[in-house]
Amino acid sequence: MRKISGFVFLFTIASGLVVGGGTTFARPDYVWGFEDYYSYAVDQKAEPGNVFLSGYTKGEGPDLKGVSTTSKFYKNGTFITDKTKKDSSGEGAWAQTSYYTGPGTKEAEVKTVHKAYTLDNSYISKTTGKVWKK
Amino acid sequence: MLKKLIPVCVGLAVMAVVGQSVLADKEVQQLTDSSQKYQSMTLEKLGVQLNNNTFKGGSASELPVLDTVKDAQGNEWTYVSYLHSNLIEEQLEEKYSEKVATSFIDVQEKILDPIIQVGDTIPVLLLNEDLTLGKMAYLQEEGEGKLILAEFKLDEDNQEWIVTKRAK
Repeated sequence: MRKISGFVFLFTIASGLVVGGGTTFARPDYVWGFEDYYSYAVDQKAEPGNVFLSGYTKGEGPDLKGVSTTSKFYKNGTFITDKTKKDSSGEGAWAQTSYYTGPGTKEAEVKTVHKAYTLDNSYISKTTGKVWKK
Repeated sequence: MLKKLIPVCVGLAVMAVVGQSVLADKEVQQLTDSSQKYQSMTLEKLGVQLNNNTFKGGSASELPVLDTVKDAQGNEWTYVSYLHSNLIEEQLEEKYSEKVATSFIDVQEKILDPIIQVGDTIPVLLLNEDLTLGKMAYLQEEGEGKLILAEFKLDEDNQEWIVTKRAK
């Protein structure tokens, strides 16, 4: 009986070391990423055809250094301008771009590159796009 | 018997409602009519044939968001607009890694950012079947200007995309 208990004890300890050790070593160096990211387009009710185009990025994780949002704005199928916003305030950092197309717009598009940076300055990217039609 | 069926019916009703909203969220909105026209013009200048070239003659039928097309040499490419490049990024992440998907975004910025000008159309993206070769092309001056074309490829050893033909 004592031998079985000893075996069970050692087996449990060994399993714990393997699983626990594996989990520790498999853990990424940094915990960081996106909480939310999107492109946005909406007509202004007060000014029909003045379309608000935007890109939004919010990061998450204790090892987040910051985020950046870069949007390219297109009106009636062609490029108008681009904007970049950055926030390096660490965990929970967010950055939003914005552009108003001006009244009379019939069609507009926004393409956004979202980046989340970690403490060693490496980053991951995502992109989103949004289309607005009258 | 009827009592046993009630939870099942409730479950099915919830699935129907939730399922619809999930599908609606995943729906991809096609480009504006102007941009679809420019996409079609760009592909035509590249010598790429669409399965349904619906914008010839100003028809307002929609282009597919993602489609398989053929170039003049008979090579097949996956077509997607720059606005919908996330559809390719998702495939790259699934097939290779997050690093490759991020590098794909980087290579597009590297090509586009130094040369983009007011009046440029939304670029067309073409990817080969293996997702190892790509082209980016667009028209300048509201579709009346020249065709800008760049090419890039995946360096599988380093898990990154590199420009093989600079935009011109």
